[in-house]
Amino acid sequence: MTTGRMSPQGDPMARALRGIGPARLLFLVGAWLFVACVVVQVVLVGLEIFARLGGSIHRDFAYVYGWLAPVLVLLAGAARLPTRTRTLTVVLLVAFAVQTVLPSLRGQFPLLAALHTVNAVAIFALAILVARRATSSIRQPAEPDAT
Amino acid sequence: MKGRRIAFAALAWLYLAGVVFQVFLAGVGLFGLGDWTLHAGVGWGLGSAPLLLLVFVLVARFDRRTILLAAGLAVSAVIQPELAAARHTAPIVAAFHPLNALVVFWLAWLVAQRSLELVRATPPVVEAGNVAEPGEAA
Repeated sequence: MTTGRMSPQGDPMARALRGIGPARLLFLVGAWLFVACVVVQVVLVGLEIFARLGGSIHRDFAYVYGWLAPVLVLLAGAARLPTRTRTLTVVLLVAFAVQTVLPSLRGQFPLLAALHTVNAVAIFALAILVARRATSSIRQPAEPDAT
Repeated sequence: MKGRRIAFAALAWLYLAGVVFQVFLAGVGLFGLGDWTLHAGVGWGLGSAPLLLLVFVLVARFDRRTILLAAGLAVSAVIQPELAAARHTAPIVAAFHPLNALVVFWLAWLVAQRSLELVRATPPVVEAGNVAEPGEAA
């Protein structure tokens, strides 16, 4: 068992975290939090449909975590993530915005409203892709200090 | 050798397309564009199709990762219609039907991606012999 303390300079984890930067770290946390929220959202819709959970908790919850999508776009820019990751994050934001509109088209364009479920799967896939890319960006070796 | 992998890839991508179509049919039912008959009918078909994929990867002796993915897909797909069928007796259990749909989609996607990797990993010229290729059990 190691009892000695490693200095911040010598600790590989501390060095790696310093190299990552707060924006990249926040992006990682936010991206996986978004995935978790999508999963909860899907459980909520299941409870509404099958367990007759009253109210509109599925819809309301979307507005609880929806703000994460634009925040992720900003963080992706601040963290200077690769272009593909930033593009995927923007696509995720657009898909999420479209998702909130689709159910309201039920009356006029029911076929478009029916795409709400397909778009939900697309959001899930995009969220996973973004989160995995965020994880990869953390695993990349930190750049050496300029000094 | 490559033919088996291409056939597997075709099946895997066809299944993924079927899952997306099934999700659309759920939207059709939810938003009153039609009833649930088609969604239910397609669902029972999609529930058993991954068993075919699993048999395929076992017979073709694909690698462990592909077998595990196909097995995971088979299990999640088999229980998917059962979850919906439990809505009268165990509604809380049935409530996981949409979540398991995401699991089925995700695994189908991974299997489809894996199938493409296997096709791409196949050498252009395969010599006769017992040399195991990447992605296949030795």
